Amino acid sequence: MSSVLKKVPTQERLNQARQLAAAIFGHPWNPECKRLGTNILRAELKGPELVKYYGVNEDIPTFKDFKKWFPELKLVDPRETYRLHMIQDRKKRNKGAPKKKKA
Amino acid sequence: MVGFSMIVRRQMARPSMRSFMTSSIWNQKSETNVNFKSPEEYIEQQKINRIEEQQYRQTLLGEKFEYNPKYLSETKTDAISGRPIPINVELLKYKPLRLEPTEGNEIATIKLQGYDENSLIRAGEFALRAAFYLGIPTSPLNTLKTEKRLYTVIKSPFAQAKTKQNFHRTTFKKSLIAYDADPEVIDLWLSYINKYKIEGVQYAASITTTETLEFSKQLENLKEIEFPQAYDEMNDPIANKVKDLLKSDTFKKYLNESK
Amino acid sequence: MPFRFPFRFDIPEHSYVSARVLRDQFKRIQYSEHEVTRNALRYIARNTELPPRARLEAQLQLTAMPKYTSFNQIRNRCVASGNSKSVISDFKLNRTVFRDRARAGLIPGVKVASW
Repeated sequence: MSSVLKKVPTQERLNQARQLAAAIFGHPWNPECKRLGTNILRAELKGPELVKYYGVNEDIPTFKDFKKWFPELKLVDPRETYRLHMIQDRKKRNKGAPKKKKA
Repeated sequence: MVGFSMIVRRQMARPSMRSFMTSSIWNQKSETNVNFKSPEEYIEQQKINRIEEQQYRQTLLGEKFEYNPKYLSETKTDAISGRPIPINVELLKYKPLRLEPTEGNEIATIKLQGYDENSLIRAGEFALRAAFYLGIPTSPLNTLKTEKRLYTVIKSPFAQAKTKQNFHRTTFKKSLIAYDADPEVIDLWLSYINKYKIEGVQYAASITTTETLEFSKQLENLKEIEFPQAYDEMNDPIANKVKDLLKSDTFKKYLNESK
Repeated sequence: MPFRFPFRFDIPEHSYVSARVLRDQFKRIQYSEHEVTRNALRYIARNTELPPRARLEAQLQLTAMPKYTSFNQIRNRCVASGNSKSVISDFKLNRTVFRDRARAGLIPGVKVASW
């Protein structure tokens, strides 16, 4: 039994082998767990994804497009008319937006 | 200290793989790359399609095409057309036939995803039938794990926030594998499936090909195609920036100091 | 009328736009512009192998950068109403907008659940 135990490599030797393997396969070798900040370098850039959050509708034509394509139909956006109507309504009740300051 | 605006300008000037989107994404106009067509463009596209279809039909008529389908029985006829039913039409009533793989090499996998299981089965069986008639051995239509998501929202705006409403969305997933076929046949099969794709089903195909050892040299000789660069530390914008910063005068004097 | 933000940018075209949405979009653009610089400085500041004075200098430069270039200023907002609270990230929708649309059958695959 003791003959088998003698053959077990030491921790130092094992670490050497691990270091060699890391050098060959390009893995990081940091046995003392130093804070090197490599995780910052490794992370993907997330800016391009974040900028796209509010999105651009490239797949479906909008109401504006139809208005441009068919001017002879004189299309009216009901949501826009409702908005304008509400603004007028508020103004009548003196609840409209305040007037701009004149510089 | 390095001027703040100066850093920005230097960063914008350097093109690199990981920052190739950052400067262009908000400068591009949406009108230039919309995915839909205006009516005039659509009409023109339809005209071109019609001409192409006619040309294709004429080329078909030029060749001699023998139509002699197999029948289950010559006497049994269809009630509407009054003709005997071909065997492949009859087979639509049954589960799709499959060829058994000979070698067992996976060539292509198609993954289907959607919220409606019936349309998924329709799409999958269509692909399986097309594969059978093209002579591609396939696996059966495998069902993958369905994903069920629950969304619980408050029913009222503020008061009585205890009353909630539950919504759920089930995503069904199916997959099928094609074996041992020639890559050309696989291309034909995939383009055929793509032509008759069903709305509401997400198709994703991954293809495995075998190449010779000189494949990388062949790729280098292709000048027209640009392949995406693999992650390379030398091209990494952040690493480059770190190098720039450490070489700048502000950091140089500190670097020489002992730790 | 002068542009309110320090730098010009395109206003999101196909989503609900309010002052707060615009502010958020501005921060997003600024963050992605300065992401490389910020991360480089962050790397120098966090690397314990570098001399402490250099790390301190990097940290000072990082804090000297405007607040709108930092990531934690960005908040996901509802695309349809601009609300920032209780936004369901799968659909980028606020809970009320989500409920209205789901009940109307406008969101594919989403049904009222009952068990």
